[in-house]
Amino acid sequence: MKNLKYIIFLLVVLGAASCKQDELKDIGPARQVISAMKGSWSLNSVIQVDEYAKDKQFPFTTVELTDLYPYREAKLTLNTTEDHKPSTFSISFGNSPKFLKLAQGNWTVDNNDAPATMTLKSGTTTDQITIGKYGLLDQGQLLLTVKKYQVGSKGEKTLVLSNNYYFKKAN
Amino acid sequence: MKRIYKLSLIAFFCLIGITAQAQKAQIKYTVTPGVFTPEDEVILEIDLAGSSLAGKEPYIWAFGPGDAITNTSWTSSPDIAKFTKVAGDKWKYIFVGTSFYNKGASEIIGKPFSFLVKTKDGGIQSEDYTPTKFSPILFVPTLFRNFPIRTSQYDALSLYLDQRYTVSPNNQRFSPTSINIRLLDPAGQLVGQEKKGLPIVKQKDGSFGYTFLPEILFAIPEGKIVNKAVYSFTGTVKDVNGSTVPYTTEEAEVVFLDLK
Repeated sequence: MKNLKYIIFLLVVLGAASCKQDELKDIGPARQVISAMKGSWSLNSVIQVDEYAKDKQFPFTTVELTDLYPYREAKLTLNTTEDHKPSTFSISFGNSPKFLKLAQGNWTVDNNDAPATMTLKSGTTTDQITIGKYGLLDQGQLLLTVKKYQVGSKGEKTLVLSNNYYFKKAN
Repeated sequence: MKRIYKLSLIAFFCLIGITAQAQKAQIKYTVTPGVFTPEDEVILEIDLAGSSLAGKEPYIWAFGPGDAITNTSWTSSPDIAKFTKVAGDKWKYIFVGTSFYNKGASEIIGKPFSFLVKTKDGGIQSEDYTPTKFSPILFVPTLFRNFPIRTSQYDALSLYLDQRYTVSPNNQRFSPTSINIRLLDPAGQLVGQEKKGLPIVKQKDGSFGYTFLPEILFAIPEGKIVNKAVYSFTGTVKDVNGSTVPYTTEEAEVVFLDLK
């Protein structure tokens, strides 16, 4: 019986000694979002989201607008500096509705490493755009969302609708 | 000896617990309306008379769907948490769920509205109270529907007709073919030309719809403010003699908001 104790103890010690630290796989280099956004993009689809309805779990929350007007004629070019920072942009709308105020100017982001919003600016005119899922960039797509807010009497903002513009990389 | 020491310690902590419990004030309160959605304005009225909070300035500490914006520091509640005096020991606090909890309605629906009342420094507090849960905001299907529900003159607008949701026999049985739309400015004046006979598209759910960008369809001059779109659907219906005659529904309207 006494020996059994020692055997168990020995097994536990051996078991513990046999453990080795798992090597974590390298997660690879950080995603270069700005570099991935650089280049020419063609508008591929436009989807309107009723954020007010979505928030209240109403049944009708999206409408596809792509074929309503020649949205696919819109082309966006995003340029960057040599050190991969946002610089200038241009948009050629063609016959597409002009869904942004600006056609050219400078673009900036809130965070160069993990941008969530981009600002298009020319003079005092600006367009605020939300950058969509980074995963789409790996598939050659760029989602830009223009959000619309209702502003209350005390200045409180409520998101009521979004227009999602899905671009695809132009070759 | 050791056991006596342990028992004394337990008794000591029990006593502290009882004392702390005794400090929790029991107050009277009313919530108006009794049932509310996260978007309704709610008035919480309290009466501190006869409680240990009587004569004190009360502050709210609210929870349920998470901490309310008033829950910044227990020992120093912010001014936004302070009740407004009604008279004597009666106070009131007004809030709207979404801004009070700084969350979307869907994160609040079904969650309890819970609160307690405290002094600014948290030295005295009431019991916890949970009067009710936040009610869902219901979708009611109707003959006319617009998408998005809240929109501006600069966004695409879809107008729908669903004949399942009407009590009017003609609205139920007419064959819709088109829509008439006109835009009005804040003074009620027509903006651009009224558009008549725009073709509608049958939707998957059996309703009929028409989608457009107001600024393109009506060539709205730059800077012109549009207050609303007024629309009706047209088509044909059989009259009492079995003849096919034109039919137009009553008008519905969509008010444009100044979205930022």
